[in-house]
Amino acid sequence: MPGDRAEAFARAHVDFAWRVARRLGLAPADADDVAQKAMLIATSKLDSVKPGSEQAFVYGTVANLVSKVFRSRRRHPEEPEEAAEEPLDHEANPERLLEQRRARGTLDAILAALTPDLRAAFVLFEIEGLSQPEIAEALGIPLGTVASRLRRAREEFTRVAVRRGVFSNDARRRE
Amino acid sequence: MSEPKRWLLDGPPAEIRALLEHARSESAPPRVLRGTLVALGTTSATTAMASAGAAASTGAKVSMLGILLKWGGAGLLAGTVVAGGAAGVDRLVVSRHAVAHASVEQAPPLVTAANPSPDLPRTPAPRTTPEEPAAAAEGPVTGSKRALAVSSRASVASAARADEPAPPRAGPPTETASAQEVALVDGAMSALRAGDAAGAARSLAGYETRFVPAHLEPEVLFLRMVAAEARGDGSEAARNAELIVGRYPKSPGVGRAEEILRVPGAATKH
Repeated sequence: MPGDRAEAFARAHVDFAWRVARRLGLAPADADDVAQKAMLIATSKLDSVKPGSEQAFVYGTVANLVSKVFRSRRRHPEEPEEAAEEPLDHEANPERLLEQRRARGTLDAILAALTPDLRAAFVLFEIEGLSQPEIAEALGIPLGTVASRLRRAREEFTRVAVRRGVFSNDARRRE
Repeated sequence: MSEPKRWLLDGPPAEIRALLEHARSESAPPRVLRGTLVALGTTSATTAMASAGAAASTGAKVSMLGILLKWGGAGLLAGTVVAGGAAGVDRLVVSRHAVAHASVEQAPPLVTAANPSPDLPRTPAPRTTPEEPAAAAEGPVTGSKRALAVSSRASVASAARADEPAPPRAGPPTETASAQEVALVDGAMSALRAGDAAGAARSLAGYETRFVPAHLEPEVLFLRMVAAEARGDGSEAARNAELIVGRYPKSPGVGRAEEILRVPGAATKH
């Protein structure tokens, strides 16, 4: 049934959509909205999504929605960001929760320091686990460009992480 | 070209791996999937809402909730008629979403949007089939973040054009309701079902100022009325009943509102 197919698609990809929205710089509340809307759009076009390209399709949908949020924010700079309501592991103890918040903040800060092109390649490869051909399709760039962006993204990520004290230069040299 | 090893498997210091592992383990809050499924009107969503309604089938509060569910099931929410006339409770909160979804499907073929904000890498719309032009998959993001989640037929269709300016933030009420509005109403309903009428009322406080335009005002007024009655606050129940009767005289909930207004001691109808 079409509804079942749409539901299966939404279940399979909603977390991916939400994480991408977050890693591209949206606050949690905005990521909620974007992920939900992306799922509605994607499920309305299931018949035209090439098998195997689902994540690329969802990524493109999310990226476009995120860019609109940013554009809208520039038009309405007086609008405060939605209050951050981080989803947390409610079974975790306070120390763990604090660690989660800190890790998220650190990661988001490092990613924000990357250029958008590098950030996208890094997020899709290192966090979301897409293959390079999948990333090439999602970003609409040649395979070789994916590889070079990924290499530069790793270098930049490491440099920013060291600058922020995530780890030391000694550790970096051991890399 | 061979794939480089992923950092998570081989590479960076443990501190970076920890960050990446953490990021990878994140997932969307459950409300995102729930809202999506309800908007899609899927079987699971229907079941979930139906059982939620069934769970509330005892006591006076329940009968009022039942009315609310029927109200939603009737498909009339602020003038929105749920397509297909499907009976049941699944359309309660997000009937507009259901309409929006239908609208997405009816929207004209979407065109390529390969010119996102400078904040993002240039992203081609994902290609669907080799012979098919790339499809842009973007929807309206209004000036208000709140209006992002779901939209009316008109706004979805217009958003099919990639670089079309987003609709203005405020304006005459449309059939658009945001995920946050839906979540708010959903939360108030859950509180009522759990017998926490005060909590439901608190969560709905200030709704009209937080959401402009207030797309779900009929539902909010009805929930406030139900919550007030459950708390034994007849005057507050009557006040909301008056608003329902005055502002939404054709809504299915008006019958219940009129009943409340007929109760001796309730405020006089305008």
